[in-house]
Amino acid sequence: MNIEIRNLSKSYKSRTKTTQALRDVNLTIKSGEIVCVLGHNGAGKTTLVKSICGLLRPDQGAVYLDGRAVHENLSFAHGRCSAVLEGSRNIYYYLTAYENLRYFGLLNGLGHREIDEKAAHYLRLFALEQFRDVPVNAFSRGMQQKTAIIIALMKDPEVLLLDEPTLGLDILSSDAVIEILHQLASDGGRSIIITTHDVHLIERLNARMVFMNQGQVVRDSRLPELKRDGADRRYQITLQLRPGGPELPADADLRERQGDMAVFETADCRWLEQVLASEQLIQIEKCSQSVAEIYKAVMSGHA
Amino acid sequence: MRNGVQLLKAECLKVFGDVKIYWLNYAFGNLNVFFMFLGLFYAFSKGSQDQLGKLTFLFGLMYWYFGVHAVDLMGLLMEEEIQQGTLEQLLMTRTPLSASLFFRIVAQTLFDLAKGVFVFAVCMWAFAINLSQILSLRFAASVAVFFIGLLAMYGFGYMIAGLSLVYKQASSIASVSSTLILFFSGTTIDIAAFPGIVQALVRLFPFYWSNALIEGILRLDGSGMARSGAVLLLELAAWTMGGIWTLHRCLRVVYDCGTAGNY
Repeated sequence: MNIEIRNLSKSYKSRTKTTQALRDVNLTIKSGEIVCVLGHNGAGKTTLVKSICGLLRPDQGAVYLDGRAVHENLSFAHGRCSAVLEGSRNIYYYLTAYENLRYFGLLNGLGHREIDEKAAHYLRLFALEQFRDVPVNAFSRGMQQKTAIIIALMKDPEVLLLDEPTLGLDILSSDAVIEILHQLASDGGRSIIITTHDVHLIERLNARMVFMNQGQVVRDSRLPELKRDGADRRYQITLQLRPGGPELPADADLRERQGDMAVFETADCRWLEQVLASEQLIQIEKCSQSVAEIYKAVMSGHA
Repeated sequence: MRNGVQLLKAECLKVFGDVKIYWLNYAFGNLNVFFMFLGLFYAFSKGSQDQLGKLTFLFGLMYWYFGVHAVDLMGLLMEEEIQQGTLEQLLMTRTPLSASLFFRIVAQTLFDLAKGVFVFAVCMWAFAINLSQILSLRFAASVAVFFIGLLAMYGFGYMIAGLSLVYKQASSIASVSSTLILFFSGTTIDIAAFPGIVQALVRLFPFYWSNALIEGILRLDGSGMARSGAVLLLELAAWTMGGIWTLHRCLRVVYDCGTAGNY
């Protein structure tokens, strides 16, 4: 399902102040695409996700699912979207895992056999099979999160919205989520939007990344492009330090120092131009940036 | 139809899940209702030989219990959903909130009905109401009117549920309905004893007309039955439409403010 976000703005008003959560956001997400939305706390990620699934009405602009405006077709949107917003809080504590799956399955119009088959499949996949009949209030946070994810998946949604899906998950479960997301996007043509701070998840998904800051989209690129762009700007230098020779650049990120030899990273191209002809420059190579470094660079406006 | 059965199954699953965990609360809550019924019944009908009067009173008490439940439970359910964080998930399902709420209250009523029948039977036995009274068409018609009246109270419940979404503590308003139905429905006190303004206000609620119609049916008193029936149906329509309209307006406020997940 194609998602079009056009000029989306949203503010929260209280008696004392107005907080602008989204400012003129424009995005197009194609069917089968996985998009990671990143940003600091309060950047507007959850507001964006809630606007897409129709849980929040924007002040201006609109979200379109296959050309239909979400807030004029709420039942259409709710029928096709699944969202895990606060995983561990999205389930009934006094019901067992299976009862939760059955309850939401019935409300989503699934038949008994379909519920049983899907529940068995996903409970096995997320290693919850033996906890099927345990009330979820006895679950760990990660297990509750898994139950919430299974509920979202059982609906077989065309748009899947996940707010911090791997929060509290062990590595194996996190990998299972990643595998399922890839499968849903590639085989099923589902559009998947994830807000996360999980570097491992972002790295493994290798998806499109939308960076948000103060309610605005500040960068929208695929992870490989961001890595390439970042690598073009950043270099690892091995330099022999001598009295009277060039000093380390102001942004030098020192990695190693032995005697008069220093290994560091820099993105200061003017400094590099000055030392390129110097005999003190032992080695220079392009850096590969980690997701965390890319995030910091984008959010500080250096990428 | 299939959808309705499926929704009812879902809500029964939830009600029984709740009972499984809080069974002791339920057990003592029910015991409390049982003693209250016996006490009220004894206080208001002791010494009376009027079999139909006792039966009418029993219907009034039942209506009081189920009517209060219909109103405050909807508000409490909404507050609970918001507190737990499950309201957002509920809104994201393929079932409209008003439908899932309706079937949840029906599931709860079915559960309550099981104990209601027991309490009804005990009261009949304890206060020597003739069994032949309930094996009649009049009794069946009274039960039907009882449920129509109850349905009208669900409309009131929808209104409280909607207000609970926006004002969070609106279910406390519902507790007022407990006193209203007990003392101003004609069950315990004839409303003719109240000032005109109070009488006019009481007539705005379906419980008065429901009780009046049940009394008319049981006593085979044709005078005013048609009027009571017509007003009851009118109020059923008005309260249901008003309640659902209020719920939808309040949901719109929730979507505007983004407070479905906040308490």
